Amino acid sequence: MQRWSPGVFATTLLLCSGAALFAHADAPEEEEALVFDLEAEEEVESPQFKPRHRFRGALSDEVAVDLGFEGDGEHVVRSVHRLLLTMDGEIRPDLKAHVSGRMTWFAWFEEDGAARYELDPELRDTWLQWSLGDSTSLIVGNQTWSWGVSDVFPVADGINPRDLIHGYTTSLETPKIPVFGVTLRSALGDHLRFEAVWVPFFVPDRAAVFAHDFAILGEVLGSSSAFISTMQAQLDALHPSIIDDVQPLLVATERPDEGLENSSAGLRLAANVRGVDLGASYFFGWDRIPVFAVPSDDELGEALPGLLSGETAVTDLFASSHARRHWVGVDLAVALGDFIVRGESAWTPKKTIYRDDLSSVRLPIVESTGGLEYSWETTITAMVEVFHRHIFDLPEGADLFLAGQDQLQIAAVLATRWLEFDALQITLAGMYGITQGDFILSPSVTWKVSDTFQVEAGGRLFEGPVNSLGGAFDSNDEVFLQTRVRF
Amino acid sequence: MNRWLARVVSVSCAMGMLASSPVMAADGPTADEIVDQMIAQDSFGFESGEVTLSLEIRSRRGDVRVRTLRARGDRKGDLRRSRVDIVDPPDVRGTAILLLEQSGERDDLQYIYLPEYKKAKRITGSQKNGSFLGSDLTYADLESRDTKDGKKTRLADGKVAGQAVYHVRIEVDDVESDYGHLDLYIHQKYHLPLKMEFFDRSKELTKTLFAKKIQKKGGKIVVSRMLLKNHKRGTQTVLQIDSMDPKATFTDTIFDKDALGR
Repeated sequence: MQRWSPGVFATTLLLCSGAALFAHADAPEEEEALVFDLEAEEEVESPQFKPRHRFRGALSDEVAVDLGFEGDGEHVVRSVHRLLLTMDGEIRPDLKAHVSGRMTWFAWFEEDGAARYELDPELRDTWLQWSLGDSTSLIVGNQTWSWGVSDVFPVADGINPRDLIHGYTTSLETPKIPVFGVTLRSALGDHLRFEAVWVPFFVPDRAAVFAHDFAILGEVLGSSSAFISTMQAQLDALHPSIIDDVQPLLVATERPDEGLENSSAGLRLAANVRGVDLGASYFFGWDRIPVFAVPSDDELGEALPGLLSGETAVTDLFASSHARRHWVGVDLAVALGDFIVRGESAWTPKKTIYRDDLSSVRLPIVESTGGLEYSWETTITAMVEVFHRHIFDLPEGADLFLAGQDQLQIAAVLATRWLEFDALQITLAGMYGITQGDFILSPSVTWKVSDTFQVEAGGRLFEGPVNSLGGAFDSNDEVFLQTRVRF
Repeated sequence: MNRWLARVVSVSCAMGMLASSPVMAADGPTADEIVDQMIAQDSFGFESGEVTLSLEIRSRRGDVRVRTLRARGDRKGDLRRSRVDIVDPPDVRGTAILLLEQSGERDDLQYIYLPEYKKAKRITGSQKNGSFLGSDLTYADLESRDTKDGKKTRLADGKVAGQAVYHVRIEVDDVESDYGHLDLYIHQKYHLPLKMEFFDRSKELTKTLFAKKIQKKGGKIVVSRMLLKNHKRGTQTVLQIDSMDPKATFTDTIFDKDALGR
């Protein structure tokens, strides 16, 4: 599932500008007044290093209401309350520290009033950075890496696991989960930079398998497996208080342990050549899409007596695990007049994909994305990004889960800002699956009441045929209201 | 970043001569020499070292908002590089802007880092003409290309705030710039710009920058307080140097776009 996180707004959101027209304010200072104060030199900042720190935080509260109450355990009201605290410190001239934590409290309500709650404390980016000479630095700790240039379809940016549990969002906040690692960054000459990354431990994506409106199995409308349907029914019977504890076990019944032989590593080279940002990456890690071994309906029928008698365990029939994955990526971004043109492509010799019965195959894949971004001052930002994936060696007639052999998608964002200090922002974001004919649409209005407080209202609409992203979440159309305080 | 006032100056400086008819200047330095001296003087202290700035932005309706910036800059060879970290307000705290001067005719590179997104994005084209943090400065004002490249003409000397000044006009030749020409009024003794006027391509005055306070800081004489009036928008921005260390030096890593946010 593609996570929809159009950072395109970013630029825009941050380039707040006043847009008042043709009126003159009273000058609080006389224009011609000029003070010469050259007698006594002001005390100059000491050239000695002074440790400094910078703190920031944000508290956001969002309530979303489903547009259609379909029943059957669907969450019709969802609320998310999130506190983010971050501290940056410059400890010595050659040593910096960054500490960040996030606490999220979720609540889901069904139509009959049944509620479920979850508290999710997270250690986010927390690291130390040493400068080793003029152009080399070493970073150790929980980190987020950003490789590639794409905003919506980051095909060459796969080091961090992602938090997919809450599905589609247009939030600017990255869906990446920071993980422990070591980064060595340096320059080779004046133009070439390299970054070596080592991630010693495997961390899976955070994804809901069931019991969430955006769960993989909860809405697996494309699945035709009797086993999956049977298992889902059993899992749905779990007490709500333990549901989210069980989720990760289902994503991987086997998981790479914390031995160093299971570590991941990669290298990125980047340069700016005559105004063109170029990058090339290689990474040897884990495919975070688990390999499922799912019994066919016939196999399930044969195993049923054993299951009933206890001679056969469920795990003898069903297993999910992770496999190694290499990938090579290239990316570029260039400014052409008022436009930014960017693209990236990644090739992997074996990547996990699902058939429509959720059984897995691992095949060579090339994924590419091309984007065009335009901004008019800070008033308008527009972005279009096209994604293409080709799966090689796909057996003829194979039906895939939420995908085709050649997958084409297009995403677009249009944001306009109005009033002084860009206080009012109207945004329309959408994604259309060219291959499958599905779409996701998210209009929103944001009012920045002050530099510290904003209110956003909007909606998320899903539509499409059964075996598509928009179709899978068709029952999750919702409107939302969010407030955010920054300090 | 340090260049950002520098550019305001520079833009001014760079945009060349313009429309009004040239006036025979008195004997003395040429327009190029005057501007070179001004640039060498590093009038705002931004060319190198570290400075903390505050921007007090007054909207057309009189609302006031304050932004605080930390700017660091130096030269790599002949090319300037600057980094601005936004300290306040909270909604953009942690945002960083990187400016890398390019040689020859190539446009300078600008990147913006967004802390929530954890990624640096390129800024270009008309986006550079957008307001910087809601102030009367634009992203383009953070560059200094116009100052270097514009055609300069010396006009009749004059007085600003009772001080004798050179009057230099710079004609802007950057087609992407909002400006048509700049008029600089440069202190004859200290080589500091006491006043700069920004004209659009239809020769209408759009902005005026006034030096408000001149001080010694770090052994240098700099303009420590400025008022920038936007005549079209009816807004104004007061720029104040809160602290500076012109001798500060930096490693290459802080000017790496991939290291912004680190």
